[in-house]
Amino acid sequence: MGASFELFDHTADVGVRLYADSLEELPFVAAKGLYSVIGQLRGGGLGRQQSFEFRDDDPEIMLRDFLAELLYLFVQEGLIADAVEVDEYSDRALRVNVTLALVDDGASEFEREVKAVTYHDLTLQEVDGAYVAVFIVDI
Amino acid sequence: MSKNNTAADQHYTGPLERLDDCRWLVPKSSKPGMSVDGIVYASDALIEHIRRDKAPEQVANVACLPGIVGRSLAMPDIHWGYGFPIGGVAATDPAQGGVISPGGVGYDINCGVRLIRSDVMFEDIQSQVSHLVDELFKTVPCGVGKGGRIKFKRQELNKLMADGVGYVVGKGYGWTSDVEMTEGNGCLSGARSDYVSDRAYSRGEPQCGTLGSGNHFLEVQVVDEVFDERAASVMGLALGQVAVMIHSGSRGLGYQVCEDAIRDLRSAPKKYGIDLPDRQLVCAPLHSPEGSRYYGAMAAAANYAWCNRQIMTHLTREVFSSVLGRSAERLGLHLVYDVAHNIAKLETHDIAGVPTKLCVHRKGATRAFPPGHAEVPARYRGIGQPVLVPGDMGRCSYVLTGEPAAMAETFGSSCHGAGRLMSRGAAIRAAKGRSIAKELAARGIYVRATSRKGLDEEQPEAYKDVSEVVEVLDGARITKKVAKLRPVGVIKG
Repeated sequence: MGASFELFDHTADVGVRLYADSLEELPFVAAKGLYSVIGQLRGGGLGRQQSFEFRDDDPEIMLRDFLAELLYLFVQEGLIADAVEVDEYSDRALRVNVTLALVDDGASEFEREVKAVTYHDLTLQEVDGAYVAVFIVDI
Repeated sequence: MSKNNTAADQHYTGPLERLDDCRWLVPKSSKPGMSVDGIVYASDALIEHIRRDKAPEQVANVACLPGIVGRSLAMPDIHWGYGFPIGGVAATDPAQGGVISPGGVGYDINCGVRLIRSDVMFEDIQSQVSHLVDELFKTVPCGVGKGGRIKFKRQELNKLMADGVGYVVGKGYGWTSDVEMTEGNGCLSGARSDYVSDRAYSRGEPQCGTLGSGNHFLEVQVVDEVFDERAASVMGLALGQVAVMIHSGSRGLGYQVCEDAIRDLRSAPKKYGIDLPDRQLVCAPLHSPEGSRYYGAMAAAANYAWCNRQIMTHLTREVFSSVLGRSAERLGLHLVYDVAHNIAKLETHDIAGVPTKLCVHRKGATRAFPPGHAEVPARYRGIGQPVLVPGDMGRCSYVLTGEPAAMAETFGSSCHGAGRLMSRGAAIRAAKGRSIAKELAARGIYVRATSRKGLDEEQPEAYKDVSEVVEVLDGARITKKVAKLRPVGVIKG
């Protein structure tokens, strides 16, 4: 089926629901969901490769932490994830290698300022062998 | 938006007992772990909107915080937030293990509102409003992630976060009188810039003096109705006068401080044996290392936010002076007041007749101290603290004053705005095929915005009628109406 996301309403904020066949697909589709809240972002020049490692006993917290890192890189350096390779996503760690691209300001549309990826209603569930995750961003 | 999440399954179905025309009870028995009752201030009409999301459940969740005293409160502009509801007020007693929670402040630390009045009459400059707004739009940086032309280096930010508004006024970005007309003189004591991360610094360096986006705005307004002539006169407000209202907060620096604090506090509930109904309510006793670190960093970000609004005031004065050809002093562009509506403060309140130092969280709520209170500026001590309540960009905003009942019931707090009625997705769907800018222009309101979608999401119909919100608190004698202002020019990020 492939990983996908949808945005949903949350009064003043915006929710993102993710669907994936495997845990490993979740980080990249989560990144795409986050960027779609911000606007229509287009990558331009090559940024850099960066590895991230998160350690926690809660996979949904590690996913949120990964998104918080991506949000910081977007607001501070104008970088977005162009590809995400997952080395490990378990109930102990999330280790990913990310190809970051510089945002092409001219080709992108910036619609919302995302203040943060919140912990509110943060979930990650296995449903019939697939995965559904939810996060809410503060606008 | 592809899915509506404010459907029936998101409605609040728990107990809400009508106490009178203005108050609804969320009883202590409604959720395990609640140590106090919840009170929602609302009319019969507003409560129907309030039931449509889970904000009342969040009132109950807040009532579970360790050391909470009095009641978990919600103002009539309450809506579903994260952790606390937006419109929530909660006070904890630090001497009794009371906690401080970043969820009770929000990511936009010291988001707030200020009002600048003028001696200019609308009828005299009506034809220049669009030019004024265009120039303000060019001069006040706004939009997603925007930085400004005024930048502060790290050492300067240290002073700014320690001293607040007084620091930037000393640098020439304002008048000495602005300091006194800012809540708490624009400086929350106990700020610790050494608890602010490098990331927060780097986000804060270019953004002091920028509006941001979302519901932040700068409006040129006209005093449209005066309810209390005496109070309006003390504030320098009169019918037909032009004023400017600015709504913004601590920008990326504040968001990062909150992000960092929540990470720091994640292990605190286990360490201190706190059972929380929502992870976003993460907290620690104020008098713990984690609680102290958050308070110090939060106070630093609050001071940054006051400086942010102060610098935008300076830029506004420059634009008015340039466009209208008179100095800001001759135009009488005095700050009426500046209020924080996302903050935690240490304040003394009576608990069972005993003056007690409490940690008062206001998340989408405004301080509303009554006449005579020592923390109200001398100029306003006879009328009560000005409370600034922005509405939506098509209708109106209000100036109120705090009343004695606020101290007795709400830890001296009132509402902060109209409160959202529609989700962002619903607002976009409702705007399909329409031009919000043209609709506003037809109502005599000139709008400049960086994003059409942002304007759609912030359309007037997306909000409750602020007049209904204000009437509830007037009826409850929490605040008193002074004046109503209508927008004639709007800048949205």
